[in-house]
Amino acid sequence: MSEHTNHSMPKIVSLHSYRGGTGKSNATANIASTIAQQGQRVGIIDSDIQSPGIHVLFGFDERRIEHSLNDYLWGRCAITEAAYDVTSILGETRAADCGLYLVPASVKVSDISRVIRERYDVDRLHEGFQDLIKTLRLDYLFIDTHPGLNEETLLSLTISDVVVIVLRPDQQDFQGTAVTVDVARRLKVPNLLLLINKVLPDYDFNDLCQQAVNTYESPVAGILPLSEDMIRLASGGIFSLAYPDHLLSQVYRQIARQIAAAPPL
Amino acid sequence: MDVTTVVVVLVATSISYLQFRAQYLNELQLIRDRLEERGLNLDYHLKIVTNRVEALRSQAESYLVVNGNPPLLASPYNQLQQVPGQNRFAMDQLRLPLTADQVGNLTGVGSLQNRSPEFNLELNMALNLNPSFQVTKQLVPGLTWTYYISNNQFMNRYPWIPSDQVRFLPQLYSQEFYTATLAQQNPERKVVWTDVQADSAGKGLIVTAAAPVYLTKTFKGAVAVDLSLEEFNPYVKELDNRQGSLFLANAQGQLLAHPSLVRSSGPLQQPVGDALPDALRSQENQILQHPSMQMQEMGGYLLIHQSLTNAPWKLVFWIPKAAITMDLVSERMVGSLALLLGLIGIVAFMQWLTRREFIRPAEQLLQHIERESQIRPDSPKNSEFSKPEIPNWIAQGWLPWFETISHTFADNRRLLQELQQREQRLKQQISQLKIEIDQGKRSREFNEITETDYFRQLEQKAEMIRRKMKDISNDE
Repeated sequence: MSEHTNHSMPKIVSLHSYRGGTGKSNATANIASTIAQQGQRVGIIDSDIQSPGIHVLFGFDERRIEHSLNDYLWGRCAITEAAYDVTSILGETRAADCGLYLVPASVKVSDISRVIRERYDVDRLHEGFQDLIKTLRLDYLFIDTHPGLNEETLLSLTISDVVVIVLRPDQQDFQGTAVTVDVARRLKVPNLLLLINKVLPDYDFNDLCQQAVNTYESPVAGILPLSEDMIRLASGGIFSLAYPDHLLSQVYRQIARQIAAAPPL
Repeated sequence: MDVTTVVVVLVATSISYLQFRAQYLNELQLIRDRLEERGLNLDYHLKIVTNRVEALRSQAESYLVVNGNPPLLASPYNQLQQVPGQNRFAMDQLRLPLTADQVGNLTGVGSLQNRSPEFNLELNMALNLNPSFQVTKQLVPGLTWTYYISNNQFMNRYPWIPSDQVRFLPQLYSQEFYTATLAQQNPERKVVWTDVQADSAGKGLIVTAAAPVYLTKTFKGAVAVDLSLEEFNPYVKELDNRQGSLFLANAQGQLLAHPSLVRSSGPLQQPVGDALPDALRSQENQILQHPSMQMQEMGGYLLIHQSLTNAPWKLVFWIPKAAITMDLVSERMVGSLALLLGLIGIVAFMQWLTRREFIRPAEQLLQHIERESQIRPDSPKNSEFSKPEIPNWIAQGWLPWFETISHTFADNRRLLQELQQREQRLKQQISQLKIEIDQGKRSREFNEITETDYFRQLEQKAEMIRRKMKDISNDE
C-alpha cells in the first residue's frame, strides 16, 4: 500500500527564491525525485513560465512537448494532457507504486513573449493544480516558481502547504529573502522552510544555520555546499539519482523528510 | 674514470698490443731471414771450397788414368832435388820460369832415384796440380794451404814454403785430414771436413776440406784445402744490433766461429756451451737437435739455427726475448704509446672540460634550482632587495640561466605570496560572513508590497482559494 493513501490531503510544495540563479529548479527536481523514489506519487509544475528549464534536468526532449502548461493556461488542453510521466528516470530500484510527472512550460520564444505580455489567469492555474492532484492521485505537487514577488508567484505561495525559500550566502539574497519571508508570513503560509544553496565548504555551516534561524525565524531545511560534482554534472541529470551516496543527496533526503513531516494546510 | 675513457683505453691498448704482436712476429721473421741469408752466404763460400776440392781430385784421378804409362819426370813443374845429406827430397831451389807463386813445395821421404813408374806417375800428377792450386788459392778466400798428400810419403803443399819450415812427415798420416779420407772411414769417397786443428805451419786454427784420390780402386792419397777459422768470423758478426749472439759450430760441438770467442790464435777446443747463455749451457744438445730454421723458446731466450748444406755445421743464433720486446717498445712502440697516452690525455681533457663546462654548471644549476625552490615566500631571502645566491664561479655562458631561474622563482614566490595573501583575506571574509539585514529597507519593501490594493486583493483571493480547497478536501 502506498504512503499517499494515508494522507488526508496531498501536499503542495513551492520552491521559491527572491532572485534567479539560486538553484531552485535543481533543488525542486532533486527533492521531488527523492520523495518519488520513496514510493510517493509526485507531480512537478514548471510555473517559471518566463524562464522555463526544469525539464532539461529530466532529459526531457523539448520536441516531445506536445502540450505545455502554457497550452493549458490558454485553454488549449486539459492540465493532464500537459503532464508527462517521467517515472522511468527513477530507475529500477524505485518503489512499486511511485510516480513522477512533469508539467513543463513552453520553451517557445513566442509563448514566453505572450506570457510576459499578457500574463495569465492565476485562478485557472490553481484549478489545474487541483485537477492534476486529483487525476494523477498525487501525494505531492511541487511548484517551481518564478523568482521574485509578482502576483502569480505570491498566489502560488498562498496555496502551498510548504514553501521552501532557496537562497545563496549572498547579501542581496539575505536581504530579499527577509522580505520574502515577511510577505509569506503575511500570506499565512503554514510551513516555511529555508534552503541555503551553493555554500562554500569553508563556511561554518552550523553558524550559518543558526544565523539564518535567528534572522528569519524559520527552520533551515538544509544547507547545500557548493559542489564541483554538481557543476560537473552540468544539468545533465538528477544529481541525487546519479549519486545517491553523495553528501548533497543526503541533504536532499533530509529536506524531503522535513517536507514530509510538515503538517498540511 | 668513466666508461668512455675505459673504452678508449681498452681499444687503444688492444690496437697497440696487436701492433706490437705484429711487429714482434715481424722481428722474428727478420731474424729468420737474416740467418738464412748468412747461412746461404757461408754455404756459398763452403761450396766453392768443396768444389775446388772436387776439382783437384778429378784432375788428379784423371791424370792418373790418362797417363797410364808412366813417363819420366818430364813435368815442366819438376825442379825436384834430393836434399843434400838427408833421405828426403824437396823443391826448395826454384829456378825460372818457376816462381813461388806458381808452384807448391813438393816434399817427400826417400830418394828420387829408382822409383817405380807408378810413383813417378803420381809425382807428376802432384806437380801438375800446381795450376789448380793457384786457381783454388784465387777462388777460396782465407785459404791457408791446399795440397796433395800421397800415401807414398810425399806431399805437394801450395803456396810454396821452404822445406826446412814445413815438409812431409810420416806423422801427417795420423791426422784427421788424411785418416778421414781413407776407405774405412770414407767409403763413399766424398769431401770431408775435419775438426778444428792447429796449422802445422803456425797459421793458427784451421779446418780442412779433404777428398780421397783413387786410381780405380787403389787409394793413392788425398787432396785438401785448409781454411783459417778467421775466415768464418765475418759470417757471425752481429745479426742485429741487440743482445743476440750468432756462432758457427760443427757436429762435434766445437765452436768454429764466434764474434769474440774464436780466434785463429786461440785455444783449440772451444766448446759450443761457451757461446750459449749460462741458463742454456746444459741444453746444448737439445738446442742443436731442434729442426733447422724453427724458432725455439727456452729459458727466456729465443733460439734458431740453420744446418749448412756443404758442411756438417750449424749457424746458431740466440737472443733474450726481453731484448726484442724492449727494443720494440723503446724504438717502434714509442709512437703507439705516445698515441695511446695522447688519446687518454685527450679523453681525460675532454672529460675535464665537459665536467667543467657542462656537468659541474648543470649540477650547480640543479643545486641552485633546489636552493631557490626551498626559499619560502615569507623568507627574508625573498625580499626584493635580496640578491639571488649564485655561485661565485660558474662556467662562461651559464650566468643567464642562473639569473633566469632566480627571476622565475622570485616571480613565482611573489605570485604565490599574493595568492596566499588573497586566500587569507578571503578566508577572513568567509569566517566573518554575517547575515546582515537592513531592517529599514526590509520594512520599507514589505510595506510597499503589502500596502497595495493588489496585495489586499491577493490576501482575499488566497483566503478564498484556501477555503475552496478545504471544501474540496472535505467533500472528498
